[in-house]
Amino acid sequence: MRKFIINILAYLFPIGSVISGINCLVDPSLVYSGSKYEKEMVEMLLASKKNVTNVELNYKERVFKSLLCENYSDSVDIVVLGSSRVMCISEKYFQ
Amino acid sequence: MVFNSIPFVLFFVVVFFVYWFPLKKSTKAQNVFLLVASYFFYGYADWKMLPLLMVTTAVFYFLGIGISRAKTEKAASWLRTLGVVLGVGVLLYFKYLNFFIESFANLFESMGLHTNWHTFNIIMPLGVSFFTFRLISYVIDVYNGEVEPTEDVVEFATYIAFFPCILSGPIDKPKFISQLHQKREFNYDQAVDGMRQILWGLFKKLVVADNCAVYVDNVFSTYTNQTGSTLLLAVVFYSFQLYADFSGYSDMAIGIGKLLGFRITRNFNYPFFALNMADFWRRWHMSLTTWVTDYVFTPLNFRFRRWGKTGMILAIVINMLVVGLWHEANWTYVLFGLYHGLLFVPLILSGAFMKKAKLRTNRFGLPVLKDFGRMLMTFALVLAGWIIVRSESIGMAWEYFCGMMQFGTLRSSYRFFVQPDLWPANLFIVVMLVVEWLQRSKEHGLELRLLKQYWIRYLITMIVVFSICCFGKFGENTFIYFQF
Repeated sequence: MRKFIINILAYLFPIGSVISGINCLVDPSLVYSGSKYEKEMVEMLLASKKNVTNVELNYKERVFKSLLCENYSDSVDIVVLGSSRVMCISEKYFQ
Repeated sequence: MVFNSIPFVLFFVVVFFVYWFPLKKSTKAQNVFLLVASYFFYGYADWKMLPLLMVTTAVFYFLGIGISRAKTEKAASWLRTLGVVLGVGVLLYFKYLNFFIESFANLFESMGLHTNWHTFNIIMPLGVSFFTFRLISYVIDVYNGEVEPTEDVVEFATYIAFFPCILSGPIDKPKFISQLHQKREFNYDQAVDGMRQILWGLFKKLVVADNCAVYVDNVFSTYTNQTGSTLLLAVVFYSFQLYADFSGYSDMAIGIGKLLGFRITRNFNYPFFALNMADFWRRWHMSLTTWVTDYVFTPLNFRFRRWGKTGMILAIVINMLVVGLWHEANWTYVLFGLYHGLLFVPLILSGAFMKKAKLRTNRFGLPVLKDFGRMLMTFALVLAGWIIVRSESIGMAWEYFCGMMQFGTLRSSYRFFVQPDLWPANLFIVVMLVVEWLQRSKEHGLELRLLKQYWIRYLITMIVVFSICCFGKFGENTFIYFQF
């Protein structure tokens, strides 16, 4: 039985290593990149003041929004939180 | 919980270690644990039908004991008949009742007689076709004296519900119970071979069958818009998909059995290398064909023996109708059975039916031209049968067949064939066929026991593993034979 388990591990170890290595390298879920990707998005957004498109679907939205708030240079009076529907609320509603 | 899923891997790892470590010394404890694991496995898939499995098992257990203890031959015969009626009854109720109601209502309607019959809301239990066949064969074999009835209800219940085989076979004969009675020792060679067989099954299922499924489903759902050559290609792909799917499942079931110290009946013997239809059915779903040969064909053939070849033809046609209807309660399967039954007629008339066809090879290890032609001919005949199986109705099968005969342009099917998504299916069908041709004398495609160098075995296994990782379709693709 011991020989069998060692044999299984001899197969599982390289397979597991390759699979995790590829996942680390490609990092499709942006797990290992910290908040580097979100920082880049914020920088682009603040530089252009427009939209950032073609982003990875797996970016961490909460990190992105926090970074955006932290780095936003203009002073703000009101912050509206919510889903995309809050985009319908414009400045005129608060005047 | 299909074999190619994470929950099953976790389930099996627990079963394997509990079975071989704490329970190693007690065969009885191992059997009880296997039974609990099997009921858990079945209940995980369909817990509402677990009581049915338990009750039918208990009834047939007592019938087996009753047959062996019956004081007169007549009483034993009566109990055997009761067992067969009960087994067939369960199958008829859960699988065929609505089919017969609908069919007779339609028949009467066509004759101008209005019926007020309605179908019932019946849920078909998973694996019902498989476990009822095991139950029926048990009472018949006990009556015929081929097996001793077991007094141990756990052994009997484990034989019926054994988790690698309960959902989709292979259908083991009652002789399997003797394996549950014997002490089991962990056998390294058998376990390694079992692992390789599981791996080969996974390769066939995830890489070949599921890649073919994309193409086949696409063509069959839009068959009215496809050219004849595309339809022909889709059936060819379907034949590989069906084989890789079902034989892949069987390989995994047999491999799991080997890891637990059991020898499960072989289900496939490289059917694409069959030389005629009789040879094909000796190689395809062998556990079912052996079952129907023993319990349907042989008694019928014996009963019709006075009619000579006509009697044999009648027996084989009824036999194949049973095989067809066993799969699903649908007229397409009746037609499928009839079609295959009729394909046996020339073999019976020419006397080739009982002869075992032997494949001859030339000095390059390839089949001789005549045998290659016979293989292609058999494959072509089988293809026509798969159209009927894959179609939802006989009308669709006929339309599909007619569409296929209008051959159309090769260019459109070529375009379909060289789609970027399709190349793994094309490549791995060839790989599967080549490997199985080279390994045709072995039990499965990845049986490497005779290769002496460890690193070659390691390399081959790793190539298969990485093919699965890179080209396998991981998702919710279930096995085709679960529906039966």
